[in-house]
Amino acid sequence: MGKLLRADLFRARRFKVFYLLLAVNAMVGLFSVFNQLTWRSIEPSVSAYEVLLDGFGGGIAFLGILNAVLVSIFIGHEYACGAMRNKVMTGGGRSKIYLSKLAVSSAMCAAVYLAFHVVNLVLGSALLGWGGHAFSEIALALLAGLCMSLAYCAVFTGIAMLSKNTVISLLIGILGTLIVLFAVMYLMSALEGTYIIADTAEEGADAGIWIPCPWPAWVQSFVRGLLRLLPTGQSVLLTMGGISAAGMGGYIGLSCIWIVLSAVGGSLLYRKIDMK
Amino acid sequence: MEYVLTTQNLTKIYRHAAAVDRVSMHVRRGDIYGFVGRNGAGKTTVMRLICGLAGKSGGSYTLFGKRDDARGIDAARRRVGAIIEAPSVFPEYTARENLQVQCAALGAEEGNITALLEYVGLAETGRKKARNFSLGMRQRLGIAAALVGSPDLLILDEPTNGLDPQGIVEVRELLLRLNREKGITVLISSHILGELSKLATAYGFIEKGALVKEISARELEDACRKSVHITVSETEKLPYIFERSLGLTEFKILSAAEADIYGDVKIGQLALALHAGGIELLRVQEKDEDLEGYFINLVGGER
Repeated sequence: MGKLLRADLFRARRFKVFYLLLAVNAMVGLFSVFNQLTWRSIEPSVSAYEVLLDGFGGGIAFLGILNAVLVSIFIGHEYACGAMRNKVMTGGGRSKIYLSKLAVSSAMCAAVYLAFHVVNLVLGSALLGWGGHAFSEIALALLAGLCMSLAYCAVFTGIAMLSKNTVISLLIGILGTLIVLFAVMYLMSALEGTYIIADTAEEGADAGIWIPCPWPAWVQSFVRGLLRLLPTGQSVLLTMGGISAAGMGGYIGLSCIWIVLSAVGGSLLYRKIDMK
Repeated sequence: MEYVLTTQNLTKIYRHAAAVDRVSMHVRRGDIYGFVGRNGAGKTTVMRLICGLAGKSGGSYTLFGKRDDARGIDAARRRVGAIIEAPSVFPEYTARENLQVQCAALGAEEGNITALLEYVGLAETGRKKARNFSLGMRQRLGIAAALVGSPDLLILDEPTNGLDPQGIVEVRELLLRLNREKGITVLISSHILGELSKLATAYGFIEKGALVKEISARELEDACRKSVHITVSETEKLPYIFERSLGLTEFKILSAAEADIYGDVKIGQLALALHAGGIELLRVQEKDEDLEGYFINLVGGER
């Protein structure tokens, strides 16, 4: 597998899309720092921690879309050129080929994720400070975000390796992320319940009636679990902030499930598919 | 006799139709094995099965003594270089970079890249990206990539497809050199029979997924020689008449009533000589078959 990793890293170092997305996410980080800086005049408590929360996707699953583009093109291009076929024909071993792709894609996705946070760690720390947030809290949040990004990568690697086509895996990756994002938003608002304002209320009185989510408790628990399990759900929840250390630890564990699922299940499925 | 590749009733079924139907072929070490068949006959599918690109529906194959379901099959595949359908070339890389990626994937020495590029005639490409190569250059780059791991077997699926006559000659000369100088066994598929006839030392003919015949180049040459097939009343005295009366030395007595005479034969003289020898000439059939004619007769069909 060392040889396959060397070959994939050779390509990754020359992969222009990787450097482009690295720059994009770094620019987004820069923008986010200066955006929070402008808010400081209105809300003095704003710090680099709020920028860090933005780096988890900004509530629009931005990291998911970046990862989908990166992984789909990296793997899809190799199929299009016939190089994937070449590796199988010369005894690379299907599982090893899959795992090598997963490892190198993960490294690239991690780098893209960190591009944002490195900008924040350098510039945000200097300009905004951390507002009293502990180092352990920051480190745990960064780690949870990293694992979320790797979970995205694991899913998209499976899609790209099994679809064998750049366009198909791009479409599934990007559209899938957006569809899941909308579903997450819908479920989160449904769980929060509905707030109704009565028309006949007297002026100045509290006219609102809060109606809690009507779903059974077990359904609500299931949905909350699902939101934490999905990388897009984690992206939205992490961006909102206010998650305890135990919660962060739980997210890390759930992200690892996707990574293991892709590594084991994805590689097993990859062994079965026919290639052109 | 050592075989680098054998298949035993190898079968591949797609949606109830057999794309490969119990193919049992034998590729000897050192041969250039020409795999001949019409478009859609199953040549590429057989090669994809052997190369591990597709899963078989039945049968098996043995590569360098390793069965396809054995643990050592990946190690056996490392002794193979292959081009299936199209050469695998990264268009954004130069020829050298393409070979560097391949070296990395196979754990091969990058020091051999220059020699390889010279061998396939791509040493002067410099920083030119592969996307700007001609088809012939891409094909030669694909062959160079297939040679990176110093393979013992080259599997080439219609490598001269789309090439101009010069390109075809270049690829042919390259393959002959590889076979002669390095002893590499070549399995090459094509539907351009004339081109294969200049290369192959053995043939396998495939039609509708089934292997119709395996034959050596020598046997094929004999089968395609110009000849006259005669049916006579008896063949006991034929050798004497052929040699003494007609001066013919190349002939074959097939049965008590049939014989083949090779080379140019004057039918009138033949008839007179046989009559003088008391043999009745019942039927004469001239045969002048080229490889294409042989193939078409074998698989059925019209020219």
